[in-house]
Amino acid sequence: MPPDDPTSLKPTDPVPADVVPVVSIENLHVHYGAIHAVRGISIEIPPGEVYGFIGPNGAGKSTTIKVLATLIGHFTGTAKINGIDVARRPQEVREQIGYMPDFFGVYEDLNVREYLHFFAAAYRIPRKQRKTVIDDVLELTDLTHKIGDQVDSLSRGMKQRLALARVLLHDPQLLLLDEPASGLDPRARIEVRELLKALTEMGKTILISSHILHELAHLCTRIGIIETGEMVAQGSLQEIYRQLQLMRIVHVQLTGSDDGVVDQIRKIKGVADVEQHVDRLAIQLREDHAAVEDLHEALVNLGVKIHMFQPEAMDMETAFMKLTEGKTA
Amino acid sequence: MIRRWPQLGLPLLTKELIEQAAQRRTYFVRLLYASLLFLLAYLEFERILAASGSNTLAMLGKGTDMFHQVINLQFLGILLFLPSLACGAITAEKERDSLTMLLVTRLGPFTILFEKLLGRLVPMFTFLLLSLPLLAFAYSLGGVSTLELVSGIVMLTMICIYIGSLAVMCSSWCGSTVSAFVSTYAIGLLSYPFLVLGSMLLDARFNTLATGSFYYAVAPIELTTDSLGKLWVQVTVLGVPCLLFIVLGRLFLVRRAHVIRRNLVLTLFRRLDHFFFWLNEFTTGGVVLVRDDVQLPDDQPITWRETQKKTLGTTRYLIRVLVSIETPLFLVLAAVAGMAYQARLGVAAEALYVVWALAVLLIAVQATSLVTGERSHQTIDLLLASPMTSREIILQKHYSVRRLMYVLGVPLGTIFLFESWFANGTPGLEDGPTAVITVPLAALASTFFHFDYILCSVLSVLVYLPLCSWIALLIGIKSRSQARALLVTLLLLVGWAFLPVLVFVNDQPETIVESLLSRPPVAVAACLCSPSVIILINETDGLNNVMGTNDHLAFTLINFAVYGLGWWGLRRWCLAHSNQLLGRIADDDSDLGSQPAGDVL
Repeated sequence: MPPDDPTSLKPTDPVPADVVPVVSIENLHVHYGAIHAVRGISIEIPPGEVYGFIGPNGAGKSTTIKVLATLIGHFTGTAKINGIDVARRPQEVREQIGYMPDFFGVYEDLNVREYLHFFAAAYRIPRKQRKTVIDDVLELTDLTHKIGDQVDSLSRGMKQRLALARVLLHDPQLLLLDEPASGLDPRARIEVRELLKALTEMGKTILISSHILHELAHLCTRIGIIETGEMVAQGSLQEIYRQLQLMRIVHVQLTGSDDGVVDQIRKIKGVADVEQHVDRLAIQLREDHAAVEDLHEALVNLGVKIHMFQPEAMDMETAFMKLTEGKTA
Repeated sequence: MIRRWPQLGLPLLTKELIEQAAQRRTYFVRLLYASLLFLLAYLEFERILAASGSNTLAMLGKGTDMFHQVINLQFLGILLFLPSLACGAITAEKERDSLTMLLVTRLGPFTILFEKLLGRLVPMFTFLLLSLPLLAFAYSLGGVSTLELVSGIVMLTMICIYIGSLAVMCSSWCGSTVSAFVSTYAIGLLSYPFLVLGSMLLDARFNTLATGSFYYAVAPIELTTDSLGKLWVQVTVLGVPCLLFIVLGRLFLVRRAHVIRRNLVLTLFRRLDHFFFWLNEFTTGGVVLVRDDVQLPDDQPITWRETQKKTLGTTRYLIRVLVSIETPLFLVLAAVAGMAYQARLGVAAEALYVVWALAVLLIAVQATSLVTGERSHQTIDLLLASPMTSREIILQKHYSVRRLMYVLGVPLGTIFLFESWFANGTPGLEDGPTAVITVPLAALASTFFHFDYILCSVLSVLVYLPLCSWIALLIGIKSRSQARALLVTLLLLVGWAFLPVLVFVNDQPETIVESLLSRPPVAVAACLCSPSVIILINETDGLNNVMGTNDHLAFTLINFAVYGLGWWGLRRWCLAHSNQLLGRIADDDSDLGSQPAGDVL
């Protein structure tokens, strides 16, 4: 269920005034004919941050990324990369971004070396530097051994790594990655995730959209959840949990306890309610009031014997499902 | 077991018709078609009026010309529109990967094919319905029998079904709409002798041979007839192949539902490649004059890919295109050198028309694929997000078409040289073995005698080919798929080439130019309307000097000036609006002056 007032979920860590945000979007609106695809999105991403963009299909993620990639001209609002207005100076913006769309564009007549040389020339990398740069990005993406292979013959995971190698050719400060892990098998997904971690360590600012929510949870410093073109929540994962007042369920089996214990548990700080099941108790814990460890300590202090103590995983799926209704623009 | 009887729901036909009704272009095309049809009929009626001297009684019995004009126009309309309408019937489903979904429904393959065919025939029948008021008007003028009227309508309907079923069969066989489109015309041409044979056999059997057997060698099908027996023969001649096409289409529909898409031109050139390789091995032992050493791109990556990595753009293949056209052309022209004056010039002119048609077709295919190819491979966004300017992208893309134009200029130039030589009486041919040297020298010398012809011919290549390429490129940029872009381009170019001739000239083909040049305002209007008129004038009056003056030069130069400006304007407009055309944001201060000039034509 979405929050009653989505506008109350504001970014909690605004970019400090003295730092120029790498990405700055303010009140962005995009229309496709009668469809209002993006409705007043505002985002600020400081340097070095990995910003995850989550939303159902048709929510407006790719459209927002395409605006930043200078591929959509018909928008209102402001979109800036490193303080440069996308609408006014797109040519300068293109020098500073690496855009990876949600599909892999195949030139079936090129091999890996030619593919990268093609884009190195398109990004105007001086001829003398091209070989070194290409060797470096191939090494980073672990594709050096595939340099002579036809692009079309690579596996999907390798193609995604090649696409990442392509966006790194001109060493852009900002990477715009639209669904980079989409359609990959688990191994390829882990490889892409590790590669993105390495890029984060290199200080790249990354805007990444994905459906695979726990991938973003591991990788992103901040997250924005978008539905029907509107931002319904953004901030760090913990902030979103706190804002949504999500309660953690802790499953507990106690031995030798009586009904009075349940009343005592209800009085523990942070406990909202206790449900009695046949084999266990399900304790609803407000994590903003008490941590799971505090609950455990309080139970021990009550003198009960704990046979099982199992906090339910609270993940982004829960937050996502709570915030969105599955509608599209 | 309960037998399930078929239900006459026609869901696929309903869907097709609803889709067509929802498209704005359906109404635009119909309006355009109706406007042209009524305009041409009006011009014919005006001619009848002029011939009758405003005497209404004198007009009685003059409906025949108008009737035949309308029937002929509808026949041309069917030939032009129906293949493009029908060839995508099944291939569009294959390209969208939706044919499998259709095949697993309760609709049987025959039902699918039948509904698809009807879905394409219904719009064409609505085009035919447009001519009913005109036919009724011509009938009321008199001179047309009821049987002729009925036979005209029946024959147009039968031709629609014939071409429609042929196109749908090709659509079932082919993997792409472009292949189906080309196949429809190719099989249509190949089936021509069989129609002739069928007509002759049936006419001989039923004694309906009325107009002499020679006639059938030219036109096996009469669009109108006043003999019921003849009408039955013609309906049979067209009806039997229709059934065959439908049965074959039904067979191919399932068997070739997952056929791998192949580029027909590429396949053809690969076969040619094998042939030339064999020929080279056989004759020279494998001497290679031009090696395709693939290098890495320098500063123009798109040009590099278009000319070094795309099979049909490489130097090796361009040379093969040249040899494939030039060799038979040279042999034909050399063979007719000894013929009479009119005969050798006639053959050369016909060869020129064929090479022009081929050149326009190849350029249209190449130019429409430039941007649509990037779209279908999903690589356009990668280019657009790069710092290359849109102007650079378009110019680098167009470079491959320029190379093709240079190559196609060679056979056209060959014909121009031959024609000026033919017009001078084949000097040097009588010199025996030394003719190898004297004939080329004499051919070059004869260009000075016919400098006006050579000038106009060279200008036609320099103006029309680039103009065609930019039109095709623009349509390609605006279209989602290459098939659609190619169909629109070819329809536009073919209509542009033929319609002005139909509008302005009502005479027999051999007297077209004389008739045209005798009416200077009409000639100027016709010249401005179509490049084909200029080529026709240049071939007829430029060499034969029909009018005894150099009047054609004036018309030709007016045309070149207008079309040259048109080409320059179109190119400039495309480059100035390149960002909008490619769908990316433009810099606020972007203008032609601030953009890099690039390698321009």
